[in-house]
Amino acid sequence: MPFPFDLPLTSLTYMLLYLATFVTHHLSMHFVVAGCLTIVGASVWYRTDQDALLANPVIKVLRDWMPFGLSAAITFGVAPLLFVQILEPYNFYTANLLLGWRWMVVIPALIAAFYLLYVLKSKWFERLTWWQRALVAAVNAGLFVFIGFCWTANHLVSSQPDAWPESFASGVLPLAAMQVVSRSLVWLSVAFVSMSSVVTAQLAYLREGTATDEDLPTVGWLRWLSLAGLGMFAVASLTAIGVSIPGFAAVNNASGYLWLGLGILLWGGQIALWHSSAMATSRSWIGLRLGLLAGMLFCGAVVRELIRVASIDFAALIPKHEEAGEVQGFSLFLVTAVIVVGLMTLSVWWVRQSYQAEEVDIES
Amino acid sequence: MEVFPVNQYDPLMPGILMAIVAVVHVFLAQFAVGGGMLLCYFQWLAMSGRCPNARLFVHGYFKWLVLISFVAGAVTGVGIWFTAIQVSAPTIGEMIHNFHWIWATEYLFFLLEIFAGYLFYRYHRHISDAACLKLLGMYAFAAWMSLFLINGIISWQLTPGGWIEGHSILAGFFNPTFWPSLFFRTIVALTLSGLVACIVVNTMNKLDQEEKRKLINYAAHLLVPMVLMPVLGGWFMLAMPEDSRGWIMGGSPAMTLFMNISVGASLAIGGYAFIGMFLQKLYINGATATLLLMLAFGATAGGEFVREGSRKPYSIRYWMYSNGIFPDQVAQMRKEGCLAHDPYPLTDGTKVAGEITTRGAKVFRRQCAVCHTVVGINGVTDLTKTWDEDQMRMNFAKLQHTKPFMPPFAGTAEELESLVRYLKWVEHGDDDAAEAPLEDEALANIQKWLDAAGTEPVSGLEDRSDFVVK
Repeated sequence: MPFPFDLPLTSLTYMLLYLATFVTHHLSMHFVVAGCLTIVGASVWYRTDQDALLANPVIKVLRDWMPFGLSAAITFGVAPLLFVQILEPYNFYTANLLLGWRWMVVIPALIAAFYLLYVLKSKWFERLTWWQRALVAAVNAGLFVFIGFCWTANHLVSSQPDAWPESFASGVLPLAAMQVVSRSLVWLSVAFVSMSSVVTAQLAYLREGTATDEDLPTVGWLRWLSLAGLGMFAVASLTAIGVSIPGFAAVNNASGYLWLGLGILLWGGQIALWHSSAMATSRSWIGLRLGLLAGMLFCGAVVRELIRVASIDFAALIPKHEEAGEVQGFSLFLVTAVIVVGLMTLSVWWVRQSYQAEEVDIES
Repeated sequence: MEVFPVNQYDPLMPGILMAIVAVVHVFLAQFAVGGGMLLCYFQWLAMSGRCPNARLFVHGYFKWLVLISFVAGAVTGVGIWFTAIQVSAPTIGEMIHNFHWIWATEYLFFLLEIFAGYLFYRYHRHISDAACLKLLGMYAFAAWMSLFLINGIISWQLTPGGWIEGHSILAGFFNPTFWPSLFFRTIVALTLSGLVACIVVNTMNKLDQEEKRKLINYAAHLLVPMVLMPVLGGWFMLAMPEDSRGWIMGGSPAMTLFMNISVGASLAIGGYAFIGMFLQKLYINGATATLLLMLAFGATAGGEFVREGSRKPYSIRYWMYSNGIFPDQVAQMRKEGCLAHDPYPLTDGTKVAGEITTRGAKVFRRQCAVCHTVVGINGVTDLTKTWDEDQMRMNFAKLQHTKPFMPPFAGTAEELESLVRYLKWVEHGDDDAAEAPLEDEALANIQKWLDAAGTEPVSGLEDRSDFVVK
């Protein structure tokens, strides 16, 4: 069986939960990171016609939804953070400790970035000049890129146990520039694909906010971001595998071929769906495109784990997973998951039932 | 035996960082829980015609809830995890290991809370009153369930109850302090939301003072349950282990002080709220409301300090000491040493005089650094300044008897002597004395004291004094 299905059932359960929740976290995080960078670019692009920036449907959707996007990213991020502590507790904790204050800085950075998203959404932002808008969005994007860098650093440090004592003594993290840059480019490039896929879906289906029926056909330009993102993603991914500690040996096996092959197929499918402006802005392909994207991110996450498993003594962790598997509560989690999904559906139904386009005048 | 690297931030001790993040997060998270209930109440007041301005209030208040609680509350929630790892990775590791499904379940409720909250935030102006109430009810339910689940885990740290015997999740979750802690925290949540409401009402410029007063009086209803706090506090204290109760009742001046701050601030808020706001229906301006909220922050900070401190010498009662060492590892570490499995050298630039003080610094890092600095806050050199070397040797060797809220020393006689040499070297800077060859007589004395003290804590399982439901 290919990895991770070759793992014992307990390890497989934790691994699948980790991978699935990791993908949901990434999708929402990509939306925010690429969204901020897009606003930076758009602010410069529209520097001579500043109203056009605010009228652009993509920018309107981004400004409107990015705070929720980050909230979703944080909420979705809690689950992989939990499961990684079951899968690789010693590695994860040690990497946290070796990063020390450099890791803790993530929290104030995240709070600042969160509030800046509300600034981007505010009326105040609309009154700024083009370069001020670009600056605010750039600071916001910079904070997210920094946080992403910290996670990349954490992951790389956690995979190099032999380097820990020396790293602790010297305070110098065992990070090779090419590893950090290539891995950062992997998520940064695919972020534009995720953002474009999500924004087109919002413009196609969400009508309560800023979007109108006329918007979707005008955003064909998003395909250039997506195609460039997909191209860069492919190059950066291959580079990241090549410069990793185990190198291509990590994927030079049946599991590697399977997940890379599947990933390439899904990648190709997205290229095809973004290829023409008509397809990029057609409602018909939006669901499929999102599905291909989620599948590709899952393949990418599995390949990332293949590299990690080849870097550390993963077999030694399996007895610990078994030990964790003996802890009660799994059925409670499953039952609650069903109930919570039901309650979320019910909440949406309540809104749909009583929704009216006209705003209720609260003050009267 | 897995040993983690330990970061030392002298003169700051890691616990201070933990305390700051924890207090801020608890304050915000409890505000979010109470906020949900308060909003349900006000939505109902609006819908039932009792208070028409309540609708205006709900929509204004929710913005605050989103901006403060959804943002800072959620992020500090992740922050508390990161901080806990920095302070004591073994402790958070045990909490995650033993309760990961409870944590995963709590995550689901957090998801529901955010989902329902954002639905309300986004659509409240486009949906009916009834739908608003249902969404707020969903939000409040999910937020309280989050509290319910997390409360089980953190109260387990102080009173693991029957979990110790069979590792039953139910016994650990519904531990002796679970219910008093849950009810107490729920009342705190209601109180915080009520006080924030008073501030928010004062920012509503469209209302005249009488209209504001009416809203404030309704908000004060959420503060009335504070009258139950003494009963719940008493219940909590009765369910605590006897020695922990002793620390906060005078046994530890610091803990007693924080306990008194918490009780005093709560009394001030409760008295003002019940007599002034509820019985006499007084108006309260923004400044007074802010002052009361600051008092509530002080009470929360005091209470959290007491909760953390009263677990000593454990981070998980009977199961793991504050320094991350398991009680059943102490005997082994007395034989093979606490540094046997520690692969980490001292950080470059750490000042030492030679081999013995290097070992002493490592022993300090392994056994003391979670709660103490060398020189700084809770600095060991200050705490032991009046002890001579022999006194220090004996007091460290018999540590759990010297100070019952300290764990037993978990190392060899040679390691203890190295620790003493290191601390005295930091104090006096005498290189020759610190690095002089170890004397057999001193080591023999230390061994004698270590043997006399034994490896068991004073507050061990055989003497357990907490109430356990069988």
